[in-house]
Amino acid sequence: MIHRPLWLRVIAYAIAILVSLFYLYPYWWMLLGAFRPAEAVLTDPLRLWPERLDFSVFRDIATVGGVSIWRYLANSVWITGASTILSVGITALGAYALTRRPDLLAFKALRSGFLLTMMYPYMLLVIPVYIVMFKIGLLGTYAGIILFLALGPIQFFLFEQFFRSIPGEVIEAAIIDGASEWQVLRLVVMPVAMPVVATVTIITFLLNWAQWFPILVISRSPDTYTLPVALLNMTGELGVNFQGIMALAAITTIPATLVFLLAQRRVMQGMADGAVKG
Amino acid sequence: MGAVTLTGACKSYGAVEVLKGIDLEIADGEFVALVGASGCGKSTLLRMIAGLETVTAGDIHIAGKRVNDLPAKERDIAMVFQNYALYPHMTVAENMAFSLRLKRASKEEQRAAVERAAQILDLEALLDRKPKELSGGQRQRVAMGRAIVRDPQVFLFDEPLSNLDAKLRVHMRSEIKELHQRLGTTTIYVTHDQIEAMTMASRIVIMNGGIVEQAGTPFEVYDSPVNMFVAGFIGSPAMNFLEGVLERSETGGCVRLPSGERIPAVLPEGAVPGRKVKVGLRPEHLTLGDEGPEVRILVVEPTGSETQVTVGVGHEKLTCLLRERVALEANQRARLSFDPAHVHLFDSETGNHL
Ligand SMILES: Nc1ncnc2c1ncn2[C@@H]1O[C@H](COP(=O)(O)OP(=O)(O)O)[C@@H](O)[C@H]1O
Ligand SMILES: [Mg+2]
Repeated sequence: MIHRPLWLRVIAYAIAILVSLFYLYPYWWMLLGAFRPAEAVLTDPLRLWPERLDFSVFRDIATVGGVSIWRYLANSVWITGASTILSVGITALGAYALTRRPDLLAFKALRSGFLLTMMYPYMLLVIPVYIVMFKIGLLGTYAGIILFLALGPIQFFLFEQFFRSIPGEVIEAAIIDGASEWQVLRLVVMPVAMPVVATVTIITFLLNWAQWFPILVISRSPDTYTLPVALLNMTGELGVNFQGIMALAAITTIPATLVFLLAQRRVMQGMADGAVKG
Repeated sequence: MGAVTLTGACKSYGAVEVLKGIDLEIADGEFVALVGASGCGKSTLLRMIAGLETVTAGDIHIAGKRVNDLPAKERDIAMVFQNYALYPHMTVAENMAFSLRLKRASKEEQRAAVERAAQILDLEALLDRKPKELSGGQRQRVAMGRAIVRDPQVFLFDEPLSNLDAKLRVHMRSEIKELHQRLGTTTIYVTHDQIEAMTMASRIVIMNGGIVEQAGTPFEVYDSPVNMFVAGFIGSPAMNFLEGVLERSETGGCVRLPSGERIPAVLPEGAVPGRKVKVGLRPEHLTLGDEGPEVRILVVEPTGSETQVTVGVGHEKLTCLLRERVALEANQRARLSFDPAHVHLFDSETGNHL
């Protein structure tokens, strides 16, 4: 390690802390807003510490749009969790199959399909998706929402890039050693891919947790809304209830933030391992 | 047992014909080197034997059994790759035991086989390390250990030493040769390095553009190359080639160079005087003396044990490799002598040896 003079390190840390505070402040402000009466926030918006804790907000947001807040939270967990597992599973296996047999026409078509979905703006996709969901009767169902969120072109290409970085000879050596296609995947490729799978899982979880537009489109009633949809759709209802909006925003962002903070070391490691190299 | 026979083996990728009918018989226990320039199809041929590539036409037999449609794992071969291809998440011991683990061999059996291979290759101290904690030479050894544990009919090596530095390469060369002498397993060894092929193999197969130019013992291909390609490929520094015309003389025959100088040669039977030929002269067969055509010294490069001298004959340049130390300097004149028995003559059209 290079040893820098103390004063230099002090200044460096001071700058780092300042910058961190700059980014953390809005979150703190959001939390404060949830526990301070709206009038107090309006008269003294920059206060760094609440004058007193006001828990009345929990009553206000216990039900939003006629649906319990717990329902939204449960929807968020279920939809994000299921779509993440589905998405990672499908895209990982699909990308692996493609790198094993890049010459197969069907696999090439799959790849082009994923590429195509990335080329169109998201909003443009939603209308055909709505029609398809309607036709196959999945409109307003969890299955419909989860299926749509499981569509992961970014994940697919991240995995493809990673699998390509595994030398073909390693797989061939395993085949000569007597491994079946399934054993190659289970005993050689999967263990090597674990850090990348973990990274992509976390990225997918964060992306899907924050999704709102397709969920809004595929839903038929607030019963299948997730927290972000409830938040965005209910600002009208809560209207001037500034405190309620802040509380709901906090509940929406905190789980994702926690997941990220707990996993960020892992994410960085995975990226360094080649998940998003180049 | 572990004999390998190729009959008319062809490989095409789409319209591109990579191998154009390879016939080759490799006896049980033989050490055969496939040698040729990069892109001539050596790896493709080896991979076809291994079962990693399909055979477009022709047949491959291993131990008397046609294996064209047999998957790699049932061919009883082991392959060592240029980039080692170790399983990165497994220790050295696990890497070597992998094939036995897939066969559901008992733990004792696995340990015994790994220990035996580790002992042969001097890997005992490294068994618990991961590949990334090993040097290139050690990884190469582990890859060989993995092959030994399989106890296969045939070892296949694809340029296994290309990623090592020069010194280690020479060391591993003799180690692989020793290993073969010890185990006696049929070995097919691909390399682009003719010195590697000459020093290690009991028989050399020289490939060029998807065909076999010549197969023979190191001395056969060195002493009697069938054509100019083989003659130029085998030997270092490479053989000198000059244009000339056959002539008869009192002593037998000679080749007249465009400059008018004459090189004594043993004329093949039925050679017609006046025929245009290419003359092949190995640098190590040329000496500077008091007789023969006069040449001009261009460059003198001593290496200690021998001296490489470039001389000018007419408009051509020749490389000579002299065993003895010589007091020569550039621009000096000297005379070049030949042993007619070591003068190779090739058809100037087909390049075939006369
Ligand atoms: N999968 C492939 N598709 C198309 N051409 C290939 C493929 N593999 C090898 N080739 C071609 O076959 C030729 C021989 O390749 P290779 O056997 O690897 O040569 P070598 O090992 O002698 O250097 C090369 O010209 C290469 O471009
Ligand atoms: Mg090759």
